[in-house]
Amino acid sequence: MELKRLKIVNFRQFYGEQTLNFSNEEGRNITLIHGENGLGKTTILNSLLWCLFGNLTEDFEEPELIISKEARDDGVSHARVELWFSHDRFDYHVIRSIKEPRETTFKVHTITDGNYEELPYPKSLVNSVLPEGMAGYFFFHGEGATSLSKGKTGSRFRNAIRDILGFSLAEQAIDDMRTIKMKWNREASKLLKGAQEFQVAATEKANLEETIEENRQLRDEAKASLEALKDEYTNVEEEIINSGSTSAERIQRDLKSTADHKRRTESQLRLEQEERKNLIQKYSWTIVGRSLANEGLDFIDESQLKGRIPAPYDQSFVDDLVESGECICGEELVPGSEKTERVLRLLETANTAVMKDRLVKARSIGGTMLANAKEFIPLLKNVESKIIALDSTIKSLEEREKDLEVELQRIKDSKIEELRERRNQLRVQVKEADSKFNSFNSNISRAKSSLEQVERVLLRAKGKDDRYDKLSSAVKSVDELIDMLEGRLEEYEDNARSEIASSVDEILKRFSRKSRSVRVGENFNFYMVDEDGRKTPKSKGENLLLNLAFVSALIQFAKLRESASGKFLIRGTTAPFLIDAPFGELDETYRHATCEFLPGNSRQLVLLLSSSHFHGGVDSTIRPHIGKEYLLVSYQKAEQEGKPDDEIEIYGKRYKQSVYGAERSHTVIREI
Amino acid sequence: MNDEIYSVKEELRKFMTDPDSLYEDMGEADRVLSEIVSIERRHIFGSGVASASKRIKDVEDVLRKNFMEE
Repeated sequence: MELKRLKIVNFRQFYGEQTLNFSNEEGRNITLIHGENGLGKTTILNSLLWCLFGNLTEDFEEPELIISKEARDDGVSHARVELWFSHDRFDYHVIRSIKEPRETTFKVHTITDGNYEELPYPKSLVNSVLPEGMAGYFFFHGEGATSLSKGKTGSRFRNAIRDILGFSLAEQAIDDMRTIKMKWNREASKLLKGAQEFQVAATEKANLEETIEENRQLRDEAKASLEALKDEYTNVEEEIINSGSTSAERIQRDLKSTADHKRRTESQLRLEQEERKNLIQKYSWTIVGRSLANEGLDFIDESQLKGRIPAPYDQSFVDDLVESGECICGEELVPGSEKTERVLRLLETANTAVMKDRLVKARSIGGTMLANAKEFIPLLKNVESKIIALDSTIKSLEEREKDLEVELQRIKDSKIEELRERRNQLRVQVKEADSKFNSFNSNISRAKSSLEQVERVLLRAKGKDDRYDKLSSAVKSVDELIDMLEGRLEEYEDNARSEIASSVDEILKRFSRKSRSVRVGENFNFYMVDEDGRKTPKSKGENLLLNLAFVSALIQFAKLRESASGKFLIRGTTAPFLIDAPFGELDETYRHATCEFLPGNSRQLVLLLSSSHFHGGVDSTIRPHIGKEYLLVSYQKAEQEGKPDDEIEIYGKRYKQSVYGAERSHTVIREI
Repeated sequence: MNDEIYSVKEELRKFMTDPDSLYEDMGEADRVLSEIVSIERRHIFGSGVASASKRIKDVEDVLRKNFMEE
């Protein structure tokens, strides 16, 4: 997204029509707007937010009064904001207008060769260019920056970043393919009308796939809200630590480390319990078979001792006697005679190769069974004793937690009491959200395992109906396409996460006084960590620096993809960075640092600065990058009567920012 | 060793700047996906586009053409 022009008409203090052209020149990408407090810097930012999303910043006073007071006094009952921008090789025009009392219209046009054509879904277009969830970051209100960190948790923020990274086309494609797959599953079940068993299975398959999809969406939502709650819980813990009470800080830190220790121990316990389960699965049959093996081996030993098994003669020995016609005692063996028949009966118990093999196997199985049984007992005892020890550690950690909670409770401070209360509520909510998430996961696992069974039945339906065969094979192909596209998005998102983190790290490394780095979580929630990787509380200035560095890294990342062909992803939004009063919480060093990294990292930078923000090295650092420069001049009906001129010096020339005794009170945007 | 690191870095940079380019040779599935995504692009960014059901219908036509027709 590249801003081109903004037209403000009768919007708050901007009476009549006021226009701003943004700089797009490479190397001189800054549009600088000077304005003292109350002259309309934040109103310019709000005019953009209002035009694109119909929103205003939280601290914008009397948001219901959009139409300029002077205009209303003149009997004018409407206001509007128009924005021209380009994106992904197209030019757009957005217009939002309001007519008293509250009639609002919102339109987006594409511009081709000077012709304006209205788009049917203006909101979708704007959101795909600049997601509403990210608007607060790209149109950055410095004084309200701390409220941003509260809103950056959960899936809304992650989805907004995915949009910025250009995922929206591919995500829409996945959703559409899923809808089509469901529809085809239903169609397939109807094609098997003649075959009752298969039709039931095909209907079941369609139902199960819908159940999986439904639970998958619910699980993703539950996961996002679980993550958001966990983040909030950590934030409240941090607030207690930073509350200023040394006792509260010590207790909360101790609580945190006890909870971490407990979590680690619980996870070890789960591993040992799993190991016990595996041992039982592997060895339990040997316990059952141990007495059987003992009896069997005893019998074999005893029989061998008595010469019963194996028989003391082989089958070949009997065969040889009969064939030679003479017994070992010298008697003649005539075929069919009583004596020969008696010798032949020996074959019933004669030792054969099969018998020998069976005996060896029986002995080996019995032996293995006994050996395993012998091995199992100490292994099981070992795991059991570990489980007992871990259980006892968990119990003592729980006791420790209880003691610390009592200690924290004893601190009589209303702020800490409130935070403790909030933290306890969040703890319950996290637990509930976790169990919700797990229950959706179990639903999915159950449905998947039922689906496998149903699919086995349906394998036999192949060949019954050509159309069914074709449709079910097409469903499979669609499934593969979905998997493929999801895999790519996941891979790309992971890379984006680490690339953004490393860009922010570079900025922090260069400019932060302390040794800090950033972690970017699954939902793109970002926080600072110290040398040991522990999350660390930030000062207001650090928070501001971190937010600016994050957006800057995001823009830089999107810039990397500007020349991408974008077959599956939209080219990342190289959104403009518009910052209102960015330096309020920053000291001179951080101001200077911010001015150094912002112009290079942004595609287009719009700075709204008061004279107090403009000094301290800011002017000289950004001056070479300024492409357009404006001044907000306040016209007031009142006479000067000793009020200041509010002069500002730009390029060695002095400009008045206040004009008194004017026909009407309003602000004018003047290009320098 | 340096060459290896360089080539890994180049691959990574290529992926970061143009992830799609690495999948260019994946064949049939890629072509179908590309066709579907271009429909989505037309519906999101284009003008005069009808409803969501029309968009899904367009995607379905591509899938039918590719997976069900001889």
